[in-house]
Amino acid sequence: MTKSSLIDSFRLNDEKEIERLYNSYRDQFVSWAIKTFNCDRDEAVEVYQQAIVIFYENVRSGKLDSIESNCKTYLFAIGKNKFYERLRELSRQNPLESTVMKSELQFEEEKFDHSEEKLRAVEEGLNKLGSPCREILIKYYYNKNSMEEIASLMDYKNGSTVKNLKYKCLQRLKKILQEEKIF
Amino acid sequence: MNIEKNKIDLVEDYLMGNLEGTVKSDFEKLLTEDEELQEYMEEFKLIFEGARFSGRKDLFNQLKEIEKNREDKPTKVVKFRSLYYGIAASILLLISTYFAFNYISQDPPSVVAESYFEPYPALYGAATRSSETEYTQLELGMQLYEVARYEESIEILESVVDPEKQEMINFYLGNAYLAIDDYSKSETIFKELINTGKIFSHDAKWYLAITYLKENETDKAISLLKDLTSYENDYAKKAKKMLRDVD
Repeated sequence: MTKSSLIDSFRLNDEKEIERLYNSYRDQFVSWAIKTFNCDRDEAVEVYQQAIVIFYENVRSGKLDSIESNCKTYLFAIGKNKFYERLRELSRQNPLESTVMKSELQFEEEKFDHSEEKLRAVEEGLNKLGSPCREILIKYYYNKNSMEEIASLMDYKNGSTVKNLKYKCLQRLKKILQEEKIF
Repeated sequence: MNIEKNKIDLVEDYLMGNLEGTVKSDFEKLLTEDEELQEYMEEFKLIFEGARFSGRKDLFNQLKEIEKNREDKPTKVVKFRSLYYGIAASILLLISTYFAFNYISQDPPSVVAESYFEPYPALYGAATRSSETEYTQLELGMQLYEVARYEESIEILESVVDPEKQEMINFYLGNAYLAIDDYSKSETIFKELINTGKIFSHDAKWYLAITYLKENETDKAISLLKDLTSYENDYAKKAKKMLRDVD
């Protein structure tokens, strides 16, 4: 088995797999963060959750095609960067330390070009669409599942069925957003 | 309808970074020249980002739920906030009912064991990797152990034959069996490590004590914990604390 096949399960957003990953390092991370950054438990947990999301998104985007470093190293490095970001925001200190931390491992956080207000409007549109459209669009655009994977995960006949459905869902979403004057 | 579908495919591929070379540059050129396509792209980009925004939010909610479930689990640790709020009201009650309270609120040994059990960290891995593209069976077994996929880890580690590392492999196997609640297997492995092991015998005593507590064999656990308190290591401190909880 190659290294990449080990992380395939994360690509499928398997809830159990994410829970296992979360529980594997949660306590170590929180203790380490409290000790190292003098933060409270809630903040440590919040940063740990951010680290898991960034790690997941990097795996899902194929940016960590193989685990050169182990999951734990990545999670702690991402966490470190998040804490330095917070400290920088708070104290507006020079970003030197943060830059050094970022050079440890290659990962990036996906940013959005649109405002949060607009993104929330799309989110509401997706909620209005409901099942199965919401799931299909999120699985495709966020989890980056292929049509075949979505067909298998959601019990559809094949990828073509999902692709047709996705097209219809997009048209419906577009109509909702036009009605709401988002476009 | 097909033209529309093809347009969606093309825009999607562009936004998802799947277009390369001349196809990508041709598309970008077209984008600068075709206002209708620009407008279409803008609309689609908003949908694309909105879906990713919602997916990320779903994942955060999933993690918050996992965290909440952890907090809901029975634990011996009293949360600071609860302690803070309740301290004034409960101090007299605690003093007057100390002995009765202590007796009634004693957790069963298996619950105590659960609150202390943390599988031994996977220290064998990245630094010892032998190849950039393939895992050895041992490395793969340890990677699976590290991400808490214990059943699969056991299946692989059981098949590894490496006399030099056998004691370490057995130690991790014992932990993995304990993590999946197969106490008879973990008990056998830890006993053997205590009797014959050179490196992991202290660690094995700690984990065997936890195994016994999980099996509600408190006397055997206490005997091992008392033994551990005589050493000068981290297990001694933990053993003393655990003894207070179970004795």
